Amino acid sequence: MSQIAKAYSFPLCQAFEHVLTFYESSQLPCGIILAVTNGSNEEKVQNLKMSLAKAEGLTDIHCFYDKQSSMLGILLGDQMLGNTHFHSLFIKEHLHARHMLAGPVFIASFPEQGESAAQILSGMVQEITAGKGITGDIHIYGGKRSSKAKKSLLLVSQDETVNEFLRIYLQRKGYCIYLAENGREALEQYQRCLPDAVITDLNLAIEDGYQLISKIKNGNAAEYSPKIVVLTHKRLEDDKKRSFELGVSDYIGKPFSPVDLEARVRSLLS
Amino acid sequence: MKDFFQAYGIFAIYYVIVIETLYLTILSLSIKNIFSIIKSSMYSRFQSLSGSEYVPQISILVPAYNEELTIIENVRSLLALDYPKYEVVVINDGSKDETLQVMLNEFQLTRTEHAKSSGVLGTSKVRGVYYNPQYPNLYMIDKENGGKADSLNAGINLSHYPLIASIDADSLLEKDALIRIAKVYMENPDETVAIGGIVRIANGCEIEDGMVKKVNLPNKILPMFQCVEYLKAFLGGRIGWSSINGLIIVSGAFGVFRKDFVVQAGGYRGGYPGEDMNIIIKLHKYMLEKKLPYRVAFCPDAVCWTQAPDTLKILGSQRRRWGRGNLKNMLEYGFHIVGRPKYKVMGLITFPYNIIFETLNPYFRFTGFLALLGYTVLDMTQWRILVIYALLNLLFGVLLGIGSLFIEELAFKRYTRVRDNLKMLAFLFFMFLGYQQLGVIWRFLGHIEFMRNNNTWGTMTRTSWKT
Repeated sequence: MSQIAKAYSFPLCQAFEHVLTFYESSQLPCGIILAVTNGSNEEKVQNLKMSLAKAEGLTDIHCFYDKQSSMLGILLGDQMLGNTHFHSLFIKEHLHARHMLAGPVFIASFPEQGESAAQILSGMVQEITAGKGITGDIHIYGGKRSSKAKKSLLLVSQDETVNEFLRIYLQRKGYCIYLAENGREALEQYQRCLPDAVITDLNLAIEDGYQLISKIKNGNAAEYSPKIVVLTHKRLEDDKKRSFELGVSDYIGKPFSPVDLEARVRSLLS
Repeated sequence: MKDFFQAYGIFAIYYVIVIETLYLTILSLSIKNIFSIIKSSMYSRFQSLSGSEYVPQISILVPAYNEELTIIENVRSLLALDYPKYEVVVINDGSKDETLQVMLNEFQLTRTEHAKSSGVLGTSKVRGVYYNPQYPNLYMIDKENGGKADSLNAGINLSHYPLIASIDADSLLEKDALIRIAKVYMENPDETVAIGGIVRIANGCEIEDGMVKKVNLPNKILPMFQCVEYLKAFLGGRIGWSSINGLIIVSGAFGVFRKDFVVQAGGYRGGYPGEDMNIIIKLHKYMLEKKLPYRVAFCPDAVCWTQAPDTLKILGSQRRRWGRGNLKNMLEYGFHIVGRPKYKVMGLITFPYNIIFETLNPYFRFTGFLALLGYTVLDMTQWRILVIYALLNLLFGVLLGIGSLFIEELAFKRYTRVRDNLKMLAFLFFMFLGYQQLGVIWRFLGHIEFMRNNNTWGTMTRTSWKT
């Protein structure tokens, strides 16, 4: 009781109260972005909302600017953490270009990072008020990942049938699935969604599997490194060797068993 | 004079009957064979095979001359084939455009001294070999201009694997084309010396990232004619010829060869076009003279998509080149091989057939037509004979075409819409009202060029796949 009450003590949280309650009660995912800005007003917030809707194709956006603490809060309906991160890049750009960015940007998503959206938001407000974070940087709110949080996977294969089959199967097992059909698309999807694991074939158009793996591995070394599982027809020793040298976590040859695949992915991510 | 015209005209009619009957025989062999081909590929698990360590390794040779527009996309698509172990060797044949530079930039290739040429075949001077460890199965050879055959030889010198595949730089392979061909090879690895794939016309198809996403018939008339012409030649003709081991050509656009035998037969011959037919003749000759059992196979489900010329000028230059190459090959080997039992099917059927019915075809058909025309002019009451001649050509031709379409529909069904099939049927018919005659004239002109000692390759212009 006290915790919930405390959560709604901030004006920002109060403003969002019924939106957050709606997401919580319907268990819809939502992305939360919090930025410290200066000189914002109602008109500028509307302006940001419009361009966000236009550029990113979002429909479910809620914005509120709290003058007192000069914090801008944005809720994005139906967005996982990966997507939220992607959109926050746009928002940061937008604010930066108008010289409105005066502090760090914090992002989070419900229900990936907690069972209560209001608690996540208030936690973020507290961290910002406590002066954490570097101005101009995007921080992922460090709230513990809830055990209920959906893990996200990126499936990359040239074979649409395999993609579709695995998407349905793994979604029913409780994963959030992103798909890509070639190396370039996979890289774009990866940067946008930052999945927990990537399941990829080696034979891909434009950029092959090896290029993809090494780009993922070299892209972000420190803070975030997804597990990579190779799922391929290639059963040659050379391919296995090269894949493991690039740092993949597992190598599954086709024909494969979906049960086996899911079990391996689960143990990798736990 | 009139009697001579009549006699010659009647001879021409019999000539047409014989040639068309032969075509029909070959067609019926094709139809007979297609059933076993369908079954065998139905029960093959190509996807699983494409990751197996027991599949032989292949070096894909891509000769490139002024291909800066299409080369990147083609190499990218070749690097994404479903095949366990292969390498792609691009040979820049002294291009005058930026072919080499765009390749070096795209794949960040650097000059290497480690890739050594075996030098078993003589070629023009190789300026350098380029490589990038990031793409361990891609090599680029830069050499001075020496023609397509010379480029292939340079590729053979560098290649590391026992099988070689020659592919035109303006063609796209389907992902499973190589593994399907390899399956045919693996059925009889000791005796198979060469395998051809089918060439289809890509004009009109939707192409994305170097892959054919949606198959459509060409929109323009000339590519459309070539589309049905290729279907007739490959499905109606080559399946049948391969079943009696009488294939005399494996298309230069896509074929797979045993490297050791190609080298022993002397490699590709430069100086004249028609190097694709030449290498097959040499392989036949070599194997028969050594009395080794062998076969030249054809794999109709391994598909290579190619851009067909869409102007009369370029098509004409291509066909004259074919005429030249064909005549050169026939003159070079014909006298030696024809009629000698030692050369089995080659000497007794394929070669006589090719000389009488392919190489000399323009002369007989055309003069026959002229004779009958003269005869009719001299005696208008006999106009029927001219009509008979024309109808014979037309009916047989359409019949052959329908047979080939039948095979296509039975086994491959690339064109799914009813409208497409009706369109192909219509073009099968229209072919005989001008297009085929043009082909005959071009071939004749090619022969004239040969006599006048013109050995140039002629122009082929490329358009980017991105349209």
